[in-house]
Amino acid sequence: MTENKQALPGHETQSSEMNCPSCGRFVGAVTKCPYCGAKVEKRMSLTATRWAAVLLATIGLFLLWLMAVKRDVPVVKLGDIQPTMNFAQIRLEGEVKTDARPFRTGMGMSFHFTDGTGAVIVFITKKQMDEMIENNLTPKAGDQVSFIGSLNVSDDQMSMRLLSVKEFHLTRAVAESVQLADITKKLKGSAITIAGTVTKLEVPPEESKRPYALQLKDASGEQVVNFWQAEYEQIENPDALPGANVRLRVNVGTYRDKVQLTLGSGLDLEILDGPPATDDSRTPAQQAAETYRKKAPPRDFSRGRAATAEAIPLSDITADKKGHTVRVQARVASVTPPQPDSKQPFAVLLRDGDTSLRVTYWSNVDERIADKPVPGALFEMEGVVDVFRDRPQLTVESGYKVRQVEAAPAAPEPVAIASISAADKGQIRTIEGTLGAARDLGKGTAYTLTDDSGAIDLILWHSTVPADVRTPLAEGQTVAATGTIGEYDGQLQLKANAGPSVYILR
Amino acid sequence: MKGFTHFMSGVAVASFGPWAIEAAMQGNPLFFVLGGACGILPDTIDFKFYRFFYHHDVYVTPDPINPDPQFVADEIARAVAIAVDEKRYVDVKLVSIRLGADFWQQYSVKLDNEKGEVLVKFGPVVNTGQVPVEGTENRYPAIGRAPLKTKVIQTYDARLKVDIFDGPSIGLKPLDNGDLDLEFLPWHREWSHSLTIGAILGVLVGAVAWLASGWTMAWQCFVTIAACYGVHVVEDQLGHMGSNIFYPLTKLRTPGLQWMHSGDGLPNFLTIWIGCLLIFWNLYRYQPDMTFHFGFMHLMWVGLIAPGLLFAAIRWVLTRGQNVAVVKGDGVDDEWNEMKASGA
Amino acid sequence: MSEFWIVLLSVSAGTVLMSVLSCLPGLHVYNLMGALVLGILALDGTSFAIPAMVYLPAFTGMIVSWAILNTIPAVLLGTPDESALFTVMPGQKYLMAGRGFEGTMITAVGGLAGAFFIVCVMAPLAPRYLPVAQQVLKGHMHWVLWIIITFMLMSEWPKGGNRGPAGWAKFFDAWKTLIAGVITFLLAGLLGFIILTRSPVSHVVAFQNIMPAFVGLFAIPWCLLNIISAASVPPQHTTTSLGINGDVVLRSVWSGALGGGIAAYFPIVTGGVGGMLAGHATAQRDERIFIMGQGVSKFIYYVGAFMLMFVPGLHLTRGGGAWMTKTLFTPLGWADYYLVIGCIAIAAAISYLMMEPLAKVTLKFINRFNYRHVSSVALAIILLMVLGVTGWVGMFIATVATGIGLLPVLFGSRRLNCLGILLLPIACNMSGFGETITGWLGLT
Repeated sequence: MTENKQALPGHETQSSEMNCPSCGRFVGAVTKCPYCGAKVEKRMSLTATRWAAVLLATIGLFLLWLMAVKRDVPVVKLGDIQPTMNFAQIRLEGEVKTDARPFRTGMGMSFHFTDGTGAVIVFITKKQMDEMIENNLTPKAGDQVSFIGSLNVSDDQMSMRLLSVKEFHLTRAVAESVQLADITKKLKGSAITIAGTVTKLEVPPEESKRPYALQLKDASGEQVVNFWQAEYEQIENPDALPGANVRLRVNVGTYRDKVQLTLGSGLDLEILDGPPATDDSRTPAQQAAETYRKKAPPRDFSRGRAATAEAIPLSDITADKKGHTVRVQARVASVTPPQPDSKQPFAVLLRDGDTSLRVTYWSNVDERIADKPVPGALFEMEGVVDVFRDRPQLTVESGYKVRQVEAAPAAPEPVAIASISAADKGQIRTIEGTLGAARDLGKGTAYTLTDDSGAIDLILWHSTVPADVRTPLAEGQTVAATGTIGEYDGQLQLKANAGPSVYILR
Repeated sequence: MKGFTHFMSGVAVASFGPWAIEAAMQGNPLFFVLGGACGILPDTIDFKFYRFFYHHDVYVTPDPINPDPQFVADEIARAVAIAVDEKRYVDVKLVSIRLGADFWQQYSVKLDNEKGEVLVKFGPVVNTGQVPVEGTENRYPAIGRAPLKTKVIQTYDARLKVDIFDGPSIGLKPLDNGDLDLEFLPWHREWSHSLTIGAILGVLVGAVAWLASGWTMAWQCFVTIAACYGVHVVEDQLGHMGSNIFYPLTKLRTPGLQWMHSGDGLPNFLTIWIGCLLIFWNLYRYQPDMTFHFGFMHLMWVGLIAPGLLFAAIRWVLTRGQNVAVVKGDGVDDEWNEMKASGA
Repeated sequence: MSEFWIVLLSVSAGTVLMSVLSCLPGLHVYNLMGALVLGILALDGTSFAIPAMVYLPAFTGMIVSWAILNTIPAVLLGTPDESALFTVMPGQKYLMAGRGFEGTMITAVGGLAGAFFIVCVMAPLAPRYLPVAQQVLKGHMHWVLWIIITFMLMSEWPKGGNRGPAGWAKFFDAWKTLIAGVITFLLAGLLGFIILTRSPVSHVVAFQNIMPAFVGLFAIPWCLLNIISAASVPPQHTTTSLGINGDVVLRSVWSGALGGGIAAYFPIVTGGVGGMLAGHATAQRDERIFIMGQGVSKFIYYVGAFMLMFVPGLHLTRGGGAWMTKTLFTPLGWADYYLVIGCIAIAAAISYLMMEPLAKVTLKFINRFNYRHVSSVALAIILLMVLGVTGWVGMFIATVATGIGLLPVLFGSRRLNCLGILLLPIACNMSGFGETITGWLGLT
C-alpha cells in the first residue's frame, strides 16, 4: 500500500509486519529491510513455525532413520499374506523351488520360492544378479534361503522384489553324487553332481537356438550335458573343456522322453586337475552301502529329521509296499552286527506278536543311532520297504530315524523251577540252575536246567542267541538264564531271550 | 524458446547417440541427463548465475513509497550522458517496484529519437501474472520526460516495461557516429549462448570422463554436451535477440532470424512434441525383440500429421465465425518474462 | 436389477458422494479409496460382500469427480498469507481478485475437456498404440525419471536477488530459495528411501505405507498454513460467462494432455509434475490457458492413470487408485475397458454439472464461516485417518514429513520438490544403485 492511494485488494487488513517499521516500504517475508536495513519483526507463530519445520525435518528424519535401521523385518509366512500387505517389506524363509533364471534381456533374474505355506516368484535386479553370481549366491532348486523383499500383491498374483543381497542368506542343497550310468528318469527334477572326462564339446551353429552339448564319460558310462550361450560364457576357460576332467552340478530333466542333463550355471562346472578322485576313505560297509544305495529305488529327499512317515503295523508291511517309506514300532527280537571285513549290514529283527520284520542298516547309519537297539527294547524305526529273497524288509537310511520308545525290561529276579506253572506261559522268568548235557535241535540247542526244586528244558535258538553266548556253555555249569515260558509236547520249557540271556555263574 | 523446449530438444539430440541408448538400457541415465541439462544450461548460466555478478553503472531505483516517473527519466538521461561523454559502454539497471507479495508497480520507458527525449510512464499495479489490478491504471498520471544527449538506436522491438520480479538491464553502446546502440539484457547471451563455449564445456567434462572411465566415455560426453548445448544456441537464433555464436572469437550478438518469438505457443509445442517423437524413434531403433514394426513416416503420420490435421479441423469448427486473437509474444523480452513467470 | 442399472447407480453414487467430499480441504480421493478397499476386503467372503460391478464404477466415479471438483478447495479455501508466501498461484490470484468462482469454473472446463480427450481420443487409440509405446519404452523408464528430476531442479528460478549491487550478496540472496528447494528434495528423498526400504509402518497395512508421508508433505502443511494465515478472503463474485473460446480450450488440451499424459503413463511421475510440465508447455501470458491446462492435466493424470489398468493388451498399473483396485480386481478384457470408459463419461458429466452449485455453496460457506475453522476440521479428519490406518507410527512419519513439507512454503521454494520422496529412491532403484545408497544408510 502506498501513501495517498487506496489499499490494494487484499491489503485492507494487511498485517503491519508486511512493511518495514522504519521506512514503511513493503518487505514481505524478510526479517531485514532491503531498503534501509532495519530489522523487521515477524509474527511469533511464523518464526516458530519456521524453526519447528527445520527441527522436525532434520531431527525427526534422523529419529525415523534410527527407528527404521533398528527395526527387525518381520518373518511372514506366504500363507498369511493379505492384499493389504502390498508393498510390505518382509522376510521370507524357506526353500528355492526352481533355479534362478536370468531374463532374456539379461536385466535381472527370478526364482520361485516356497515356505511350505505358499509359493511366490522373486525378482532380482541386474546389479543384484551380478553380485550374486560373483559371490556364488545364485539360488538353485532345493537351496534353503532367507531374504528380505518387497511384496507386490494383486488380485491374481503375488511377487517379491529382493531388497538386499547382503541380507540374502543361502544354504546350498547337497547335490547327490551320481555315476553316469545310474542317471535315470527317476531322478527327474533333482540336481546331481557328476564327474568325468569330456570326450567332445559340440558347439551349436551361429544364429542357431540349439544348445551346447558336452559329452561326458566316466567309469560307468556316458552322458550328454546341455547348456546355452549364457552358461557357456560363465565357464572359466571353456576352451580347455575338450578332454578335460570335470565335475559339474546338473539338473536332471527329460526331453522327448529321454533323460536330459542341463547345466544351470557355468559356475557349476569345475575343470579338475586330474581324474575325479574316488572316496577310498569309506569303510567297506559304507562302500557297500553306497553300492546298495545306487540300486535302491529313488528316495524321498524332501523330508527332514522332523518329518515323519506314515506309521503302519508290522503286519501291513508286504512286498507290495516296496519303495514306500514307512514307520514301524515293535520290540527288538535280535540284533546282528556285521562280521568284520564283511559287506553285511546291521540286521535287527523286530517282532510284534506273531509278525516279525527284518530291518537292515549300514554302519554310517548305526553311528547316528543314539540308543542302540537291544533285544527286548521297544523301538520305532523309519525306513524304506525293500524285498529280499521275496520277503519284505525295512532299510533304514538315517540313524535319526531309529528311536527307542521303551528300554528293554530288566531281567527279573530268579525263581524256583517248581514255582513255574502253565499259567506263566508267555511270561519272562529268570532261573538259576545247573546245565545238563547239550542236545542238538538242528536250529538250536537244548539243555536240562536243574535247581533244588525241579528241572526244566532250556532252549537256545541259534537265530536269537548269539554263538558267543552259546559256545562257552557246558554240562555241569551253573548258569542264570532269562527266557520266556513256553510249552512243547505238554512239557514246560524256558526259551532263552535273544541276546546275552544266559550267564555262567560258576 | 521456453526452457522446457530447450530441455526436451537437448534430450532429443542426446537420443541420437547410440551410446546413450545403450547406456540407458544398462541402467545408466547419464547421457540423457547430460543432454537435457546442457539443453537448458545456457539460460541457466545467464539467469541463475551470471546476472547476479553483472555490474551496472546506473541503478534506477524508484521509491515504492513515492514513485516518481521524472526521477526515472532523469536517471536514464544521466546514463546516456555518461555513455556519450565518456565514450564507453554504460550498463543501466531498471529496478522493479514491489508493493506487495503479489503486486508490482508497472512502469514503461520509451525512447523517442525524433524529439530526443526519454519518456517514463507509471502504469497500473499488476499481479505476478502481469495482469493489471482493476482501478490502479491512473495512480500516477504524470509522464516523466528528460532530454537525451544523443540518439539511442533500438535495432529491434524491445519495449522497456518493468513490472514483476527482476527489472531489465539495458546496455548503451557508443557508435562511431555518436549515437548509442541500445542492447536489451546485455548480460544475456553475451558469452553463454555460444557454440564454442559448448565445445569447451564438452572438452572439460570429457577430460574428467577420460580420467574416470577412459577415451570412449570422454568423446561420448564431449559429443553429447557440445551437440545438446549447441541446439539451444541454434533454437535461440530463430528468434529476435540472437546470440554471440562463436564467443570468444566473435564479440557481439548476431541478431536472430526473427522466425518466431520465444514465447509463441505453437513453435514451442511443436518442438517439444517432435522431440518426443524423435526420442521414441531412436529408442525403437535400438530396442531388441520388438514385435511391433513401423517406419519413420508411419510414426510421423500417426504422431504428428494426423493429430495436427485433426486439431486444425476441430479448431476451425470451434472458432468458426469468431475473431480469435492469439496473444503473441512481445519481442525479445519473451525469455525475460518467461523466466520471471517461471518463478511462480 | 440388470448390470446396466447397477453400474449406472454405482457410478452416479460414487460421483455424487465424492463430489461433496472433494470440497473438504486436504482430503485426497486415495485416502478414502484406501479405507474403502479395507472395508471391501473385510466383507469379502461374507454375505455382505461387495461385487466388482458395484465398487468398480463407484471408484471410477470417485476418481473422476475428485479430479474435477478438487479445484474448489484448492482455489477457494487456500488464501495466501503475504507474510509467508513468496508467490501466488494463478487460481489463488483469481480468488484475491474476487474472481474465485471464475477461476474454479475455468479449471472445471479443463477437466471436462480432459474427459472428452480421454473418451474420444485416448480410449479408441490406447489399445492400438500404447502397447507399442510400452514395448519401445520398457527399460527406459529410469532415465525418464532422471530427466524429470533434472528439469524439476534446474527449472526453478531464483526469486530473490532483485535488488542491490552485483556480487556474492546478491547471488546468495537469490539462491536462498533454490538451496531450500534442493534441500527439500534431498530430505524428501531420504524419507522416501527409509519408507520404501524399511518402512516402520506395520506390514499388515503396507499398502498405505506412503500415505502418512504424503499427508505430511502436502495436506498437513496446507491446512496448517490456512490455520495460521492472516489474510482474509475478499468478496467473491459469481459470473455467467468465463470469457473462453474454442482456441483457449484446444490450447489447454494440448498442453495439459502432454503434461497429464506423461504423468499418467510414466510410473512415479505424479500429477504435480504433470502440472508443472503442462505449465511449461503453455503460453504463460494467457492465464486462462494456464489454469485450464492445469485442469486438463489433473484430469488426465488421475483418470488416465486409472484407465491404463483396463486397456486391453496393456494392463499398466499407474497411480494409487489403480494399485489399490488391483488388490481387489484384475481386468480381463474389452468389457471391463468399455465399462470404465462409459463410467468416466457419465461421471465427468455429473461432476461438471455439480461444479457450479458446489462452488457457489462453498463461496457462501466461506463467506459465513472462517476458513481457518474449515481447515482445522479438515486437519482433524486427515490426522484421524492416518492414525486409524497406520497407527502412531504413521502419525510420527506424518509429523516428520510435515516438517519437510513446510520448508518450501516457509522458505520460498517449490513444493514440487517434496516429490523427491518417490522420484529419488525409485529412480535410483531403477538405475540399479538404490541398494548401494540404502547400504550406505544402513537400511539394507
